[in-house]
Amino acid sequence: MTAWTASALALLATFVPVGIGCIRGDLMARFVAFQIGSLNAVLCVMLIAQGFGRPFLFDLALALAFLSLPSGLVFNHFFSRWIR
Amino acid sequence: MSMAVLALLAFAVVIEVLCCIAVAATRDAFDRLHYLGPAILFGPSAVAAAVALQDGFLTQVGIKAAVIAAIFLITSPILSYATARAIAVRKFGDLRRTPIDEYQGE
Repeated sequence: MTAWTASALALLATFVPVGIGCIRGDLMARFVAFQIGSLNAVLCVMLIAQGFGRPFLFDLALALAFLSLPSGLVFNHFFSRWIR
Repeated sequence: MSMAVLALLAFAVVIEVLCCIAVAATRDAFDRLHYLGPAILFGPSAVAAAVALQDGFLTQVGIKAAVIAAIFLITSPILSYATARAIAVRKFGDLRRTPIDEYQGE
């Protein structure tokens, strides 16, 4: 196990507190926990790509990072206006 | 693997773990939003720097990692502002009304 895969495992473990955050609090508090979870997913994919020597997985991380802004804005738009 | 790469990876992991625990420990959305900042700012930057140190700055992997870090650095303030505004709209209703409007009874 290299330092990259060990770091990826450590970041995978952070999904436990993120999951706890996603089931506690009001709707927007859960959404913030979801945002930090999506960030950790991107970092996990980056570390796995580097650890296992699969450079094409960086494209997946890049796509996830690109899509995090529009998805977050759409969620915010609906949460602030319609979904109570 | 150099010590700098190990230090950057350890830094990124520690920051992410601490921020995730803090997010799980707090219940208020504004409080959680504060812990989102360092996770987005330092985590991707440190991982991208470690990747670039390992494989080179001008390689395919190094450039992609730098682009990912740049995306998070640029978009996180926008997303944080939009999230904070959505929280405020849900809590306080119409944001165009200021406390002065309330005082004047408008």
